[in-house]
Amino acid sequence: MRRNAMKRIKIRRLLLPALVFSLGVHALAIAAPDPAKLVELTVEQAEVLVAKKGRLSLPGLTWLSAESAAVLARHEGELELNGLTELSGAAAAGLSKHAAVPGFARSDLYLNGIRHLSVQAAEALAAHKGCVSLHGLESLDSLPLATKIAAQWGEVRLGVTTLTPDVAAELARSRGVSEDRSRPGVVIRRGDKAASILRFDRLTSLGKEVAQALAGADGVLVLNGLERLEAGAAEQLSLRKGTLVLNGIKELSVETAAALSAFPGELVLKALPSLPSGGAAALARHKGRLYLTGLKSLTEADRQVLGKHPNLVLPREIGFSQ
Amino acid sequence: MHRISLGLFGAAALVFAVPVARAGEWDKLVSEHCLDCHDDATRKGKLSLESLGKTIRADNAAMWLKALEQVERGAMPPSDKAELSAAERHAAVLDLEAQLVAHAESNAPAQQPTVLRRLNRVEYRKTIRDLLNLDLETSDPTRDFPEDTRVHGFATHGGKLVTSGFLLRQYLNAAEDVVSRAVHFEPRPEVRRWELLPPFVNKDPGYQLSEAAYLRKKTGGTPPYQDILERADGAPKAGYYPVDDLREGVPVSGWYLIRIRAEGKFRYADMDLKKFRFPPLSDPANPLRLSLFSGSLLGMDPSNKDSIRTAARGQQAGERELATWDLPDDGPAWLECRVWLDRGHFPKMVFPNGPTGSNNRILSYVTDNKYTLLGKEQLEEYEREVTPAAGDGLHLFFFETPRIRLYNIHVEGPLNEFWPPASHVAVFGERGYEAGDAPAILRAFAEKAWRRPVSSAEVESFVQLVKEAEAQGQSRETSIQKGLKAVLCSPQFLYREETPSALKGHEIAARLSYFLWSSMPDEALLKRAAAGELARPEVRRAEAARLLADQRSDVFVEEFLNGWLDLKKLGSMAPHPYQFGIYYSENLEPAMRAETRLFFKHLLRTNGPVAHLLDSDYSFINQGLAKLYGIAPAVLEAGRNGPVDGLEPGDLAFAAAGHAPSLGFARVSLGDPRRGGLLGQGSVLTLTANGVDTSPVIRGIWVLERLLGAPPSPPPADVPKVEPDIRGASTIREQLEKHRESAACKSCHRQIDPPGFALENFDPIGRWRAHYMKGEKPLPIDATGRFGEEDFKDIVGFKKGLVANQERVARSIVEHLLLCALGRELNVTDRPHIRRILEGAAPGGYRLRELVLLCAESELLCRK
Repeated sequence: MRRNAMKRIKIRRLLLPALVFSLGVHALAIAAPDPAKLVELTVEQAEVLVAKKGRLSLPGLTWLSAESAAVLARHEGELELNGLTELSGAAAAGLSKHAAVPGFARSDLYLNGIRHLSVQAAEALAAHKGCVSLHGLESLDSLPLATKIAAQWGEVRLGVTTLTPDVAAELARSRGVSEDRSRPGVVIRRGDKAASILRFDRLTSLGKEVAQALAGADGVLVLNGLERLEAGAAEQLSLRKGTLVLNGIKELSVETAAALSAFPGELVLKALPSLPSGGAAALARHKGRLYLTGLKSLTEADRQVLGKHPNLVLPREIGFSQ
Repeated sequence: MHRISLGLFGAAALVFAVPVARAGEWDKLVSEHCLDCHDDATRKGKLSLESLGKTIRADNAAMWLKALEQVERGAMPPSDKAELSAAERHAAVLDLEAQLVAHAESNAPAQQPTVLRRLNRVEYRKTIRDLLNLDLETSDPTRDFPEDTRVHGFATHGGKLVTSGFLLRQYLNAAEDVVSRAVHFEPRPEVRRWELLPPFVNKDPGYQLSEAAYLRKKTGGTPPYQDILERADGAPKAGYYPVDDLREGVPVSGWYLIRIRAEGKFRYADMDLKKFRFPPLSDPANPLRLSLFSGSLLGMDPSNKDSIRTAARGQQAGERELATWDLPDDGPAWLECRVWLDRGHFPKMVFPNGPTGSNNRILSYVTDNKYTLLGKEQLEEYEREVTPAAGDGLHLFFFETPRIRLYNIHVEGPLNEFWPPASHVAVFGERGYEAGDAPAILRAFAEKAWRRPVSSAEVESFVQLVKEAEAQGQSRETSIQKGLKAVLCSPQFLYREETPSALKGHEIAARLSYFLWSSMPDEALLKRAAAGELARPEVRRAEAARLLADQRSDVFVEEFLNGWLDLKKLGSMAPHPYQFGIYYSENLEPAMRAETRLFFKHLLRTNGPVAHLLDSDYSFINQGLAKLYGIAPAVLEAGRNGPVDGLEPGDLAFAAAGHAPSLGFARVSLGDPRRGGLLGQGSVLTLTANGVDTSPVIRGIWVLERLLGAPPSPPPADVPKVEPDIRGASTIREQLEKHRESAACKSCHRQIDPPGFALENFDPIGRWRAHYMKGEKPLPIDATGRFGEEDFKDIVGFKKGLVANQERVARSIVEHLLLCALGRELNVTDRPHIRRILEGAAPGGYRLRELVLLCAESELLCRK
């Protein structure tokens, strides 16, 4: 009898944890939502999701309540919310409490779907301690947010269609460095050693004042949204160093070419199909590496003139290369 | 063409016009020119010739020989003493030599006859190749044999070709291996065909999930191609691409047809040198190349995945380059080669001139420079497709970096035109093997293997072995193979038998064939041996000429240069990869070796003068060497027109098979007099440096030892080494001048340093340099010196001095030829024979083939 009783106790001891574990797993399986499929997020769901560490990606989420944002802010790891197209000030305030990822990450808070931010939302995000990614942001009026973005690690990439000189000047302060969070005081520089990267793909026009403001940035300046560039703006851009990428420009005036020829760095004009009369002579004076790989044709005279350029990349089919 | 001074030959003829030794000449020389310094009272250099005694004895013979050599080379009496005419010098040398020879011959046991000589590794391999008609290029039966000891650079010294228990076990394994490869009683194997589509390599899940998956998505089916982006690099090299479906190797040894559809892509890609932290190693001026190597995983533990992967993806010992092609840039083309693959071997692909040996470096370059490398739309597509989840492998699809693009691989074989194969017929004849054939088969096989007539009694024990195996129930076919293996393990095969004193005909035949082919005599040579004709010098000469004209004599060129010039050492002190990147990017090591071999072979085939080895206005170079030497590509191209005397077109092709004209060699005219001759060749200049720096001492000793045949004595134990000046405050000349202040050093360094200084304008890989660089500071190079009685300003002047002393170089060549042929140290009794060879060659201007033929004619070749 006693032996049987002992045996029953032993079985219970073994079965009970197994049962509890099995129920727990079952409960979790029901409760944990699939992050990839979520289009709305309740506080309860958010609580379940933040229980796991690491990158949390919610690509289908288009709207976020302030309460859920406050919960998500407790997540230990990168937050990828690229489906959000708008963000209220309160939700932004909630997210701004999100802690920077320990160690090193390209970004901590991905909000690349957001096109517009209210002043409150922008200022709330400016208080975020880590890196915020806002590739889709079409307008940026908040100087504090511009200051914060310029101070972040890596490239400054915004979808802005216009820029004010003040904001441009603030963004141009970017130096592409970051503090290694695992080693306080240690500054990490970009792998390619570029001083900074400023990229505005949707900026379709550039005034002289904004160009002057951007001239403060010495790294890579990508302005692929520009299809035209006035000579005045080009003159200002030529005052800077580094690399100037203008791969949207399909027409170039002689005056602009002449202005750009003073630019001492690497000049990338890959979309330019032809050169204006006198353009070759102007560009031949440029001293840095010059990419004209989009040229479809070149007169013999222009070829001769450009042949004097010390560091020119042309398409192989139309002549000399490198 | 280099013009030889006829005046020199006139002088040489005059010297040799004193044919007979006259007694008393040496004594006269000693008393008139030597005793001032080397009498008992003065004992300069701690040597007294007075007390040495005039009569040659066992205890003074070596010292008198040394004195003779000093006088013969012109080192003594010193030039600042009384003038000694060439005739006086020669007469004295002849006199002392006659005395030394007489003494040596009366003390015969003291001499060193050739001892029983084992086949060295090269000889074993070549003999098996010829005996069994086997292609051994992909699988070397001697791969596990220990390295043979080299004496004076040659692995032919009987006394040093020792045998060990380990080697005996290797002989058993090798015999097993080669007999199983040669003998084929089984039916003709079926021809198999593999028609492979991408992916060929990296068929692991990682690749399937990234690159292949992306290509599938784009095309909706099988990935249309696979790219190779990284070059084979490192030591040992990594970055091989095994054809994964053939990793088990081909099932049967034989000839296989390999066809690959491929193209080179983005050869002219924008790779800005200044931005690339690891400068790209590919040069847009050269076509991209694809090479095939053979690999094998036989005998490896399949569960050890790491070692399997390392072996499959990297360089393997004994690997063979099967083929190399220059790839077309404009669309794919079928590339084809017919190569021998042994069972278990498979093809591995290599990108020999890829931009870098690391995909990560390429990845880092393109991602860091994406804004300059990609246009606006390209950038948008790249960022749309390449997400963190897609994996790193996808990045490179969107960038243009030099790469090989592979579309199809077809392998077909074994292609046996005849069955049984030639190796089987070599043993059993056309009739095949039938019951009762064992005694005849074994006797015929032993006659070939032992390189002499064999009686029935001699093979009786081997026949018994076969019979016993049959009696034990083994098949007739298996049993005969036992007998064949036993023959290959017998001492008569492994050792070259030589009769004391005068050699028999077949022994002379073997001497000739191993000298010039490193292999067994062929039928024609054995026929002449059987007829007793090889005792006649003119027959030996004719046979040597025939052997030299055969492609099998390529091994003589290879082995002789390995020994004489120490060419085998090339690559043992690898040049510094950062300082001498061109050595690796242009694959210069084999190119340098090939230049020297082609140069020597051409001279041998055309019977060119020895003077051309010292100075010439031509050489044989490829693109890589042209870059190293600063020779314009147009000069190389001009050299490609037309045939070259003495060489076959195949000699100038660098790759074994395939089609890679960009790697090919051409005979070019050297406009620069500094470069001509062996001393301007990258091989010699690299093997005499340490990979980082040059030393006039090392190069000087090399010139004395190899070219002039006068190795200096080793330094006294108490003399400190010349340490490099790491502060860069002084040049090596200044350091050596300080070193020479010591009297103990002066006598040798007076000989050693000048040739070394003359070569100082060549850096450790043979590039011309106008000055040394110590950090940022240029230091001048002083290449002046004195050689013999003449001052020279630079390498050009030094080479003139060498040409004026070409008879010393000819003597060095003859001595090295005899060391190679005889397999023993030379001694004083060889001197008259050597002199006769030189006398025979002098009127023609010491022509290279003539020297070899005169060695073959020499009585020395017929004496043990």
